[in-house]
Amino acid sequence: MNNWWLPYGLKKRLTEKKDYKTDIDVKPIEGIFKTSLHIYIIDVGNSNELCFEIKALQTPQYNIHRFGIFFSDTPRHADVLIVLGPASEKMIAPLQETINQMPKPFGIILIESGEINTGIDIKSLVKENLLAEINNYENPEQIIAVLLKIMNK
Amino acid sequence: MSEQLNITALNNDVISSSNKNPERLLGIFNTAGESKCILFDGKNFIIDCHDKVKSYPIYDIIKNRNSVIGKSEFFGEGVFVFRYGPVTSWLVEPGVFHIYTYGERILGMNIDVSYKSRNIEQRLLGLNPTEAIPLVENICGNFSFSHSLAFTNSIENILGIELNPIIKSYKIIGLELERIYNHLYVFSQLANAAAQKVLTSQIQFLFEESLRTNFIFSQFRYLKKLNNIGKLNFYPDKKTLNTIKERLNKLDSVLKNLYERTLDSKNFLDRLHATSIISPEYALQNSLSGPTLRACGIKEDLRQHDKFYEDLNIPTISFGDSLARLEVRVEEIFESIKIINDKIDFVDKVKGLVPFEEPNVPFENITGSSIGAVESPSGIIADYVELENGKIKNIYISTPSLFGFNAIKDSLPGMIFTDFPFSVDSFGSFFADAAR
Repeated sequence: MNNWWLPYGLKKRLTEKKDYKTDIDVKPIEGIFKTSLHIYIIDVGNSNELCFEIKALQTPQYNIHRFGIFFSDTPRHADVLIVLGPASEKMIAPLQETINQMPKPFGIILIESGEINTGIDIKSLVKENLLAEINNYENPEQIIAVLLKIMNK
Repeated sequence: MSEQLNITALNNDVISSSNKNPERLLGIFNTAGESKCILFDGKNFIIDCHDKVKSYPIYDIIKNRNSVIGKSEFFGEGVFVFRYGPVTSWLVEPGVFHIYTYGERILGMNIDVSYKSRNIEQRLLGLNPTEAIPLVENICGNFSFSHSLAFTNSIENILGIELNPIIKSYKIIGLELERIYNHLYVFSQLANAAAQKVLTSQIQFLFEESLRTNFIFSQFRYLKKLNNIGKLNFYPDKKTLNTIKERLNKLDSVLKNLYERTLDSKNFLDRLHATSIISPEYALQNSLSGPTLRACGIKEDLRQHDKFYEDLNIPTISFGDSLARLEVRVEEIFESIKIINDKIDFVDKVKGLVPFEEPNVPFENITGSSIGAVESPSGIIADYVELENGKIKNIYISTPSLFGFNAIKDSLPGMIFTDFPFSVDSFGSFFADAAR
């Protein structure tokens, strides 16, 4: 067996749909972020389900890089902050500091995974830059659709 | 190095296969003004006097489980504390690693889990058991079925409910589906840490596919809102079960191919080999369970004592490093697929032949206490529950991630910074699970 990884990877076609649509209200930032969007993720206390979903968002099925969407390693290089809530008490201050570190203009997407509230409501903290809110999270397609709507794609 | 790698990959020595191991401390709680502890001997859970366990090395960690794990302090020329967290790009979950170092080498560390604390046990008090299930599922989203199952097991024990074999089979399918996607997640994280881009993409693909299989089974990607006391909220039909079987058989063949290539990839194995070695003695003294325990040669699995798991194969490797933990997890995926296939065949065969009755669960006015436990993807989840007049009066939830973080803290010193992700990811520990 040829165990070289490259030919193995090249013969697979794993990417799926070409476009994603959503009914979620999204406020685009006029005139910018049309070709690329750098996102930074902060988990402020969700049950870890959404952290797993962020990993799922990076799987080849979605292949988000083809849309110009990239994950940033620091909030200082990001255009959009994705907040995975609700928040635990101790994460309020780190969230505020992360928002302070974002370069202007920037947007925030707040994602919460359903009706069970295990933490503190943080809408008042993020409302100034809130572009979209996903309350009843279902799957990564929702996040991609929201990001593409921000980019007017 | 490569010679040793081959030895590790093939070494299946079993250090202990007896049903009973030394008693491990899983939790400490107060009831009726007294302090009690939960012990586990490899087969049975024992509630005992708290004084007996004060000398256990894990005692202080359990007593202060909502704060910082470890009390390391290092001083010397050039030694400083590197604080990693609670906001980082690699570790999405909020937790803090306080790492003592003078540069590349890690001297010691303390791990703060408190940033994720949501006081779920406090929130559960006063609820009736069915109201409590959604909250229990949210302790750790990726262990939601295991947490839910441990909780409902404890309530079923209090009510004296014996599960119908068909219902039990459905619950086993849910639990094994949870094990599969969690193990794939750990595999993809380790491949990513080693910059194995093709392997990472291929395993991530399987990870997403397994979440979709969960959705087909339960209408939720994380198997929520399915489990209930003595029953399930709904039962996937024959067509759904056959679809699941087909998807899992496909996963089985693709993963076997990828795993074979992985074990041939010296670059990858070299990063995992001899990283964060756990000895069997340490594992037993520090309450480890699950793949971490089995990766240091101890053949123990809570499922082996369950009559519904016939001929359970327990993968065991003796080296105790990150590679051994990965190997155990991948072998467990193949075993879980086999179990699910068996259970689907069983349900198909006996449905209609065995009376399918859901137990009536009138827990109003019920008073009592019990322990329910489950072998989750990362080890034992044990719930001690006290009911008074049908409401939760007291609950203690023992989670495997707490012991996993303690093992990370103790196994990383001496390693270098680049070993850090291989160590942390290989234990499959999560702050949401540890901090609850």
